[in-house]
Amino acid sequence: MKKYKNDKVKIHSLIENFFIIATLAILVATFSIGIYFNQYEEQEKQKNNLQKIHKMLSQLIVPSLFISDFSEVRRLLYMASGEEETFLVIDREGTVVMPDYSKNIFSDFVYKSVKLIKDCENEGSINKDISGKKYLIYCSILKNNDVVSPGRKVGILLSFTNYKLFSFSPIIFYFIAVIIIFFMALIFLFRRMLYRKLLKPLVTLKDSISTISMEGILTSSHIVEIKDAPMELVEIKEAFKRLLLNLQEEYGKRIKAERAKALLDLAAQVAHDIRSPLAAINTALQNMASIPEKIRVMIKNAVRRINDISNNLLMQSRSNNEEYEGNYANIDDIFPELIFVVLDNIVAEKKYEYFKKQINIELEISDCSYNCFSNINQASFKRVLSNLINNGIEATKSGEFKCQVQHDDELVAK
Amino acid sequence: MNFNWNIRLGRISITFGILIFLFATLSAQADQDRDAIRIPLQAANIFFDPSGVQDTQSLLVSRQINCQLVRNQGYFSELEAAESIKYTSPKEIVFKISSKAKFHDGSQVTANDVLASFNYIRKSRHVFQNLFSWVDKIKIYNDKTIILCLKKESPQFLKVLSSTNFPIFKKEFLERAEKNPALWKMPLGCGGYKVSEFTDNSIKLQPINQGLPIIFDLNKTNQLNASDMKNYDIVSINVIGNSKELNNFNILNIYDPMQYYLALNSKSKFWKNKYERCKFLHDIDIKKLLVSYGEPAIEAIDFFPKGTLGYSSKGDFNSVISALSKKSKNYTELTQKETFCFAYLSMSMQEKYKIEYINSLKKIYPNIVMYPIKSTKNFGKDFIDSKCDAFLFGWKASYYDGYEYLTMFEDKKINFSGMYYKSLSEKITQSQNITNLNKRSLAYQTIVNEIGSSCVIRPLITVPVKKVYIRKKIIATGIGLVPTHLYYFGNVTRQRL
Repeated sequence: MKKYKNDKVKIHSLIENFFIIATLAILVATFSIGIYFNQYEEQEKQKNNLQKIHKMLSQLIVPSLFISDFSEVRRLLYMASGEEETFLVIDREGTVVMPDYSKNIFSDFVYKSVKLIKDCENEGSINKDISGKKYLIYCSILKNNDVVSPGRKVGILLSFTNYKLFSFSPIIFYFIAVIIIFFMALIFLFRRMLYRKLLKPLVTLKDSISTISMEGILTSSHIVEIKDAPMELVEIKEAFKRLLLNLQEEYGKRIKAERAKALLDLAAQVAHDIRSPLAAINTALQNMASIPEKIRVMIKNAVRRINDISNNLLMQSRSNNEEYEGNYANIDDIFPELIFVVLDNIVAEKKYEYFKKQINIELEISDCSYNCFSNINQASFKRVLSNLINNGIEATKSGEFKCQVQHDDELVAK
Repeated sequence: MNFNWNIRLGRISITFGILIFLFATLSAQADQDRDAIRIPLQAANIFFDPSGVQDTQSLLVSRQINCQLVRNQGYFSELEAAESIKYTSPKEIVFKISSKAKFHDGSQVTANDVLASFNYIRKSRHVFQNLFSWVDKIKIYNDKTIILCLKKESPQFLKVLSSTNFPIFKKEFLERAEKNPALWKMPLGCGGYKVSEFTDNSIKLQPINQGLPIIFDLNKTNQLNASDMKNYDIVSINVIGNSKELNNFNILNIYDPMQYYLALNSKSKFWKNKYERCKFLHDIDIKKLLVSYGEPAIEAIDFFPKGTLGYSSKGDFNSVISALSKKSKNYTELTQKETFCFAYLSMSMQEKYKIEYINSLKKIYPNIVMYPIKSTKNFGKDFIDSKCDAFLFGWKASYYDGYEYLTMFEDKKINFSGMYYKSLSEKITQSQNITNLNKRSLAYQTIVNEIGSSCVIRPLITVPVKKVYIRKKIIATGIGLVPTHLYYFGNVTRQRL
């Protein structure tokens, strides 16, 4: 049996790989989409939060800024600021008030970004790189709301928030966790279903076929019953079963033919081997005058009878061989044949055929014709001759039939 | 022979042992000095006695060696010697003293020490008396508990108490220091550091539990060359020139306004009435002076610097002086002949600005002599005693309240002008009872206008930010939260490679 190389991938590995890749692809896609929407959502949320904080902080800061109570302003800014966010105020004269002056990158940025402060007239946010870090800068105008000078600008409130490229809300983790669990469950179920409905029957079928193929001889056509197999596999199984039965039938016939051929070959060998002793007995009988005529005739008939039987066996063997190889014989295949042997064979056959009808069939061969060869197709010749003898026997009423063989320089006939 | 050799060997061994001991001691000292944080101080006269007006540099050192019940750490108050503070009623506050609060001699801080410290400050100090104006009585509940009873509800009581003006000293120390003021050179405080050495050139502080040692180098010129920065870790005095050494420092611009004032001696012969004083104050040209100071210095337009409760951006104070100056006649011939004595507080004046000040005044009084006043403790008295005509000094606040500036007019004993208005003093004291910030701010402005109309002082220049240089290898957490003179160095660490 041909063995496959190890690098050939098994079908279940293919399916598993497909699942892993598909799962990863889906997860990555889900994750990316989730992150994108989460990022967008978070940024919007962050802006809204900042807007609210600015609004609230402004209301608290303006009264203190109006009476120049920087101590309180710094306290409020300090309370609003954190690790990720820094708030600062620029008053009308451009003084920067911030909670922690050690964060000088922001004050330096403000001093350098006069345009930014002007742009702050349109409240909003921008993203800026400050000392190699990205910040979301949100600014709002601090306006006095008292009755004396309503709407009077008293300063600008700026916030610097660490800009996170990937800002995650906890919900994205829940979402991704649920997606992963869902996909895992789906994969588990799908894999189980695929295993039961496809892989297991397929493997069973493969094992069954492999076992049958490993046995070497087609003694069994039984393929185990596969439960829950899909239609296509059942069809494959049935087709294979039919193929196996055909093969078994053919195999049986071949075995039978082989046995018959061997038997015939043996008989032919026996027939061939006993000819010489029979010929010796015949020759001896002609010179045994001491034996009474009656006994001599009886022995002669017995020898002839044995000769006929052997000839018949030999002929059957040959015809059987021809039949066995008949499909391969060609009518145009003409070979030189010893004509006496061919005739002797056919006469012996006929003698045997008409033995019970008490018809005596004789073959007379002139002495010089024993060595004659003719270019004939042996099968066709025998068929024609057989028909001629049959016709002749039907025509005669005496129970005597004689075949004579004569020849001239070119033809052998009678 | 053998006996002599034994004696010699013994002597050599002893000498060798002493040498090793000395070497080890010196090495340990050298290691300590190498680890120490080095800070230049802009002062020739550092003192730790809280009874006088302490300059920022004295306050900076005091901050390290003294403790208070509660301490202002920028935007929140932190318990220091107190374990807990409880308002049992709006007018009664119970302070429980922590058992961890100890003086440098190892003894625990007791209620008696706190009371003695309060009493000492109340009795001897003539500024920042607002806290005591609110206190009705102080009761000792037990050794570790002290109760402050207020005359009325004072929302800003804790804010003021947590400012840097109320340190605690051991009672016995205060009693001994009263008799021997020299003891103030090494006060028995309860802060994280103690003074280990105090010379004319430096003050060395030793940490009690944690922190790096500190060496303060006393810089008499009030400025530091940039090339000398290599010797220091944290520099808050003015740095002149440029040097590559500056690249090793982070520079912080901390909002900590310093306002420079020119005060007049009302008894001076140069002016007969307040209008002439007003004219003089009004005529001082500070444009070149401003150029000399450079950024971020700005012209002071109000008695308070911007950012202080009570500040008015309208410039009313100078307007009052300006309006009154118009009533004065022209300067007399006296201005050309007599010598004008210009006194200045040493630590408020950098060498490089002296000439600009002289030039500003020379336009009015050509014959100028300068007179330095070194001590901030009794600068008002020193100025009056000097009989000088004008006096330049800088002033800054710790919690940005106008009272911290007005306090210089509150007590007769610190008065520098030769004039004392009792009603003004009372108004200043009464302003501290106003709880509403808007109303207190207005009250301050009213007082300021009154001061302005007396024409004894004029704010000249405001330097709103303080430049602080911090060596990049130094980690000084929270240094930007408070003015440098209020910063505690106990948590400062040095990065090691």
